[in-house]
Amino acid sequence: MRNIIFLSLLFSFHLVVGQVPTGDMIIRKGTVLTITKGTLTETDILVQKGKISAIGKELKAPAGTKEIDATGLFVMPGIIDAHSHIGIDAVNEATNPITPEVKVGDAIDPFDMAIYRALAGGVTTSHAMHGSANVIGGQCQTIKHRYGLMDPSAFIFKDAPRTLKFALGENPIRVHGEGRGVQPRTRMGVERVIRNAFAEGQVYRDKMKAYELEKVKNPNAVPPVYNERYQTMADILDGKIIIQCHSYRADEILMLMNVLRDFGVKKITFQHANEGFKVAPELAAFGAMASVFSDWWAYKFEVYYSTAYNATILTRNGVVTSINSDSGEMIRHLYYEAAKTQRYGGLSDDEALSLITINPARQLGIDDKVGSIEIGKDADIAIFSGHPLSVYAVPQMTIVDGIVRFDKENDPSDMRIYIDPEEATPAYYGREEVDECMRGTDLMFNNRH
Amino acid sequence: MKKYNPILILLVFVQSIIVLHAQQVEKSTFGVFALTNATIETVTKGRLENATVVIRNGKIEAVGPNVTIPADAQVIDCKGLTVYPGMVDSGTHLGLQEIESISVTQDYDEMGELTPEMQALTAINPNSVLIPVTRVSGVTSVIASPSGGLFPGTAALINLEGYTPEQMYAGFKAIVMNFPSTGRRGRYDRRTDEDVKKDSDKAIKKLNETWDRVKAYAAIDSSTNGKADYNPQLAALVPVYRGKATAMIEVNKESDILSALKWIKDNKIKAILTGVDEGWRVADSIAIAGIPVITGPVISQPTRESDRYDTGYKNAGIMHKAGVKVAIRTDDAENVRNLPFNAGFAAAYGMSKEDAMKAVTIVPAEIFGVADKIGSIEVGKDANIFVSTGDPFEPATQIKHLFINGWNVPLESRQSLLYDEFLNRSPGVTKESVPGKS
Amino acid sequence: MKRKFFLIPLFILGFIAVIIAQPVSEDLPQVTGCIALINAKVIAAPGKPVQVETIIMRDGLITDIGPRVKIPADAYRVPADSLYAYPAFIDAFSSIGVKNPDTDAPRGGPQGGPGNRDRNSHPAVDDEGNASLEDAGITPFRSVRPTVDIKEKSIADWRAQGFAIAHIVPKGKMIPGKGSLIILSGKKTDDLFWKEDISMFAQWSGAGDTYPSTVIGIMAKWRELYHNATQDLAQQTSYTNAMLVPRPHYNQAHEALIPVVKKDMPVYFRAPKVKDISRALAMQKDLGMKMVISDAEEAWYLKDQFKSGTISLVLSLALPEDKSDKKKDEAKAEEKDKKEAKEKNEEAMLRPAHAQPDATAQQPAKEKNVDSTQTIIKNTIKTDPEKEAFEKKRAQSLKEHYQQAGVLAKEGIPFSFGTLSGKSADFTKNIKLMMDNGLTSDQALSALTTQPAKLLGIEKNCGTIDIGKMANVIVSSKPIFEKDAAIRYMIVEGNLYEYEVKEKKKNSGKESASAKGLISGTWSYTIETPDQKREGTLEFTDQSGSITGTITSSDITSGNKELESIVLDGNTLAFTFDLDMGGQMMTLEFNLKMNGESFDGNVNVGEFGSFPVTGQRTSKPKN
Repeated sequence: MRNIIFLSLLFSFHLVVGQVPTGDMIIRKGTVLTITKGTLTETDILVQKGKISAIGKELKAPAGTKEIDATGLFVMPGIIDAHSHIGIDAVNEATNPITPEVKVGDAIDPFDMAIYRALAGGVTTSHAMHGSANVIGGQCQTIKHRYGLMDPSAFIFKDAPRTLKFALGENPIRVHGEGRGVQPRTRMGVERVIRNAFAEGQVYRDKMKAYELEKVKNPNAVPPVYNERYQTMADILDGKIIIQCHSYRADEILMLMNVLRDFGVKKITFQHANEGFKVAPELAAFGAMASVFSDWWAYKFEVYYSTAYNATILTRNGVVTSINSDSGEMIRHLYYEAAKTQRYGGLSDDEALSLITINPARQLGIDDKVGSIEIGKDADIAIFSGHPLSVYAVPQMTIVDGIVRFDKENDPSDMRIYIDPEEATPAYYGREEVDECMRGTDLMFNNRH
Repeated sequence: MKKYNPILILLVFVQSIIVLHAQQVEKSTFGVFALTNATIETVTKGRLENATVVIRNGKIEAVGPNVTIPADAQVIDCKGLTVYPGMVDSGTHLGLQEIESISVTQDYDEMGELTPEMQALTAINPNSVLIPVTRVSGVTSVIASPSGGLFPGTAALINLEGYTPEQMYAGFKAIVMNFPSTGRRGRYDRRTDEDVKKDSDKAIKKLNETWDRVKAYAAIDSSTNGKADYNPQLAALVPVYRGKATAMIEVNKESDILSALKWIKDNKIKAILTGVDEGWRVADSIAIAGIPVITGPVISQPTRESDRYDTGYKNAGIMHKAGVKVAIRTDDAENVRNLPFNAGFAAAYGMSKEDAMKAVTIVPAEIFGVADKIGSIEVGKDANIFVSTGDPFEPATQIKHLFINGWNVPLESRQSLLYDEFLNRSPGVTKESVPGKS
Repeated sequence: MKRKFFLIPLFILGFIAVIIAQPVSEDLPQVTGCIALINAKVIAAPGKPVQVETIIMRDGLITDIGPRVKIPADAYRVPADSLYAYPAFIDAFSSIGVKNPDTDAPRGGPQGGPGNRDRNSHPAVDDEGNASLEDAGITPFRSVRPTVDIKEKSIADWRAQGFAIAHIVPKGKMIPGKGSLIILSGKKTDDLFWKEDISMFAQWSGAGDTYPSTVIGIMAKWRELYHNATQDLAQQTSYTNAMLVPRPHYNQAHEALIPVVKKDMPVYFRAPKVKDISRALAMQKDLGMKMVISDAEEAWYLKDQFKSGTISLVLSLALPEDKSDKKKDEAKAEEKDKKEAKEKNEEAMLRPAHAQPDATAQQPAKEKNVDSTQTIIKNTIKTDPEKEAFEKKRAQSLKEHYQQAGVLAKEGIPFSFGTLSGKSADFTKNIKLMMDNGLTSDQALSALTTQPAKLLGIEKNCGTIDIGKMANVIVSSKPIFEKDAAIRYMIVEGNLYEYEVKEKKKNSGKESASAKGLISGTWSYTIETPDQKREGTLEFTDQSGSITGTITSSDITSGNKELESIVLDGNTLAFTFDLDMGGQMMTLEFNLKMNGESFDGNVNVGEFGSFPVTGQRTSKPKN
């Protein structure tokens, strides 16, 4: 594994943007949890050029193909986290309630140790999100955990749909209403801010359309002043972007669905949605999805009326549901977060595992590429010592595009890529707890919370 | 319009919910119970198959395969189920915190650096919504601990059942101390290196000065037969100084742990180390010092960028192997229910399952000096017991029954009530309420 | 233009080099507008062989050069036998002569900033929280000129290091403004300027609590500004050329960026670290501006991206410091070993009876463990493999930073040097460090002369010593990058600056090699206080000009033992020491006169007064 990381380091220098290294391998005799097509015992998976090319018993592989013996091990699709903030240097551009034009993909941090640690928890893809300081935050970036590469663009999940963060409730109210003295200071204001932004987006879109028409007749037609903010709103209106909305309370979830209905917007996943269970029928009817915590609650007032049964109730009501981390620690054990739905509501193994594989893939619009073990899909695979829904299961190896990026047995302890030339011993950070969603907002207010 | 204090409104609101909630809750029942046909994990005396536990007067009256079932017993058939001693979380804010971000619901952090006389037990809210949520995972007792300054107060061991703090009190208190840290508080701690050092030097100086005064106060107290001037802060520390009370010393960084061990030795203090995130680096030293450790959360990130990814998970196991007496805590409030999963992670990463179970049962009981009452299933002990479908560390396992001090506590919480109400919501979706379908 | 031969007063303070050059003849009037540098060993350009030649300079230009040129009668003759002449250096990216902003402008949060809860009106969505261009740090319309001051010390400092020309940029946030070309010579500020507004300066500096505050905000703002400047340009063209076109809207920032969009004006993007560079490169790829990655400290990571030559590169002259002073480490390690051994002893005493060695057979800790985490556990006193591994990685990283210039040169990637983040006092040292790590002297010279000349479009005028070029010449005592080389003259556009080589007197906490002999070693001291004599030892070490010292005494039982604010001035030595007197911190101020192997002086102890102190050297450092 040391060699693989080293090799991939070399590779990175020759990367053409958009191209990423892929590998070939055959994973032998594992218990394969395909998620979508049942569980296959003693089954081989053949990987060629980073894609799954065959699944079956005693497959033949071209000579020289790297063999991984998974006898007695459990093989599942790489875990997908629909909500995280790892691998990026900037989370919140908290200086305006509306900043849809900013893209966290511009701030990818290839050296973030959290990416490697997520790999060590079987997670191969995550949705690096803008924070929740703003009502309409920035565009998020679906990334693959190709830890070891230096080029930030190599982390981008190719052809993943654009996604954009919205945030309702306490966070934007605290940052802007209480912290900066601008709207919104209430949930009424939150709705107003969103409606205003969509309305401005409509006006802008109309102006642009008029200009396009005019241009055909008159080559000297004057375009409207380019506004990336409104252009992004127009892109949402045109269905080019999936909204990912930080939300907790049932009322605000309903509010946003009403707003979207008025503006004809359909694609949305509610993030956190701690009270999603209260409006599960409405979510299902709208076609909205939900990405939730397994059991986080009571860390602020708007999550006081939560239940760990949320994912189960949503699932039983037909809402496409995922379990996310929003944390550098939780992302490392999403498999066990998913397992908690078996305690709280008794979901089946496939239902529980879907919450961290195919369902988040659906929410991010990448379910044609990842999220299950199927021929033609990306060879993003996590290998566990036991069934991943058992607390005793330990991730052994994690593969991205057919390249081993985590190997429990062979990785060195210190996996840092970038070394500070002036720091002799890595600093002690303690067991820090950071509200990732609000990272970068401490400038905005003086109070502790 | 008249202005209302939003906090007041909030409190009224919260209280009304609690009242509402209380009306819906099934009550605990007391009596004689026989848990029959069970597998029993006694923890201290192995596993018994097809056995019975009899509970009477709040105590375990009998345990074993050949126990006669008393005629007056309410029989609970535990065929296919396993009986465990209730789990103990050795470090929480449970009962002292309702909502993390709302400071008026936080009762663990008093003003001042030196407040050892503050009693956690005073502020325990027996009706916290968080408590029933915790019980459903088999946690029956917790340390409710103040936190904050150098000596933030006195922690108490409580059982998670009772209408008053006194009814909940489980017989152990300790003075909490935060050993001065020489490290940063996190990646976002923006103090300069000099400031970090200055602050920690100041803190250590303060600790030593405080201790000098405690010594002096204790001497005067002795020579005046307890007639020293009224000084509750120093008075609260005298028993620790005299080795009669225990100090729970929070310390995490490698070098700080070594300093703390030395300080404990120099001052001959009865101590428990808590936190101990970097204990794996100095496990031998801790073992040699013979100081017990409460560590956790196990499910946590490494403390340094360069550390192997699983050092947090392995920490408890490494210390245990080195010979340290290790108990596990969550250091949580609303999710103390994850204690068994923290123990499970310790087991997945190097501790045996048995030792991990002990780290949340008999080991904390021994550390707190209450091993005669809780921590295992033995005749004469308090009936703190739960019955599950299997290994309680496994997420899929269901907890079926739970007893605290012999009370059969219903496994109901606001979270389960919300589930019952909303799983099949009625009315479901109505035409008016379908967004996008108007 | 009249050429004046003038010499302006200079203040060189705390200027550190092995040999100290100081300007002389400061107050003399100019003699003539013609200089003859006679019989110098001339290196006319990087890679050119040394030739003994005479250079004639008149009116700021090199008018003649050769082994036997005729020296004009009116020439000021500078005999340069045995001295070396080089083309003077060109600084590709700096803030030489640029003042620091007087005070921080008041933070321009929206509507009076945080905390203002009472607002009656709400502005349009787009304006909500959007600050003025100034507050946002978007000032591409600004020139550096109003912030330049001839009195800035940096001008003389860098000239003394061999620099004649600099490309300077303004201070600010995201887009501080336009850069200019200056000549490091003149009487008044205006004299400095050669070409104004030749570049646009940009960096990843957000506007605090104002939009854009983060790298993602800055990136988005750049996209929008660039797009609109492009649009404005098109529209201005149609407005000029066609009928019935509405007048283009005017925006100061868009207008200022039009030369950037037209690729007439390069963007100098300050990007020290690897992530800064890759983000700037991504922006360039996206928007297509002409970009110069500037102040780069870690460009080798992305060296392939510079091979095509579309992106130019200016490397920083700042280098990370080697903080693992080996000697210090050794001393510390020794101390630590002792301490740990002591601790170990104490631990042994702590060991409970049941855990005595005879019982270790059952001690699981003694089990052989193959677990990689566990092997890290400190079970030995002497070595710590974890720390050694860290140190190895850190040393490797440090080495790579030092190798940057050499590696890029070897790859054939052209680059210049810029002084923006460098300190003039470290210039020689850092160039030498780079040369010790693979950079050749020709490569170094070209990165300081011909490369920046080309980058800045002044290669016709500057960068080499040739007839017709600007009279910018360094005259040094030895080959310029050689150890102990000292600049004797700087000629900047025909203005002569002379430097005298002498041992330095004035010092600010650091000292030259001569000091090494003066105070290095161990000294015993005696302080005479009214009640008793207090004794102890002082130990001074000198590491590349930086003096450190410690104090040892039975009086000092706790706290820091490091001496602070050590100043050696001639033979007087001053330092302070913070003494922990049972919790009360007391600063002891020593003022000593060094008399070879002994010293005398006094020590000030705050309110307690001043006491005489004497001492002798007991040992010199081993070398």
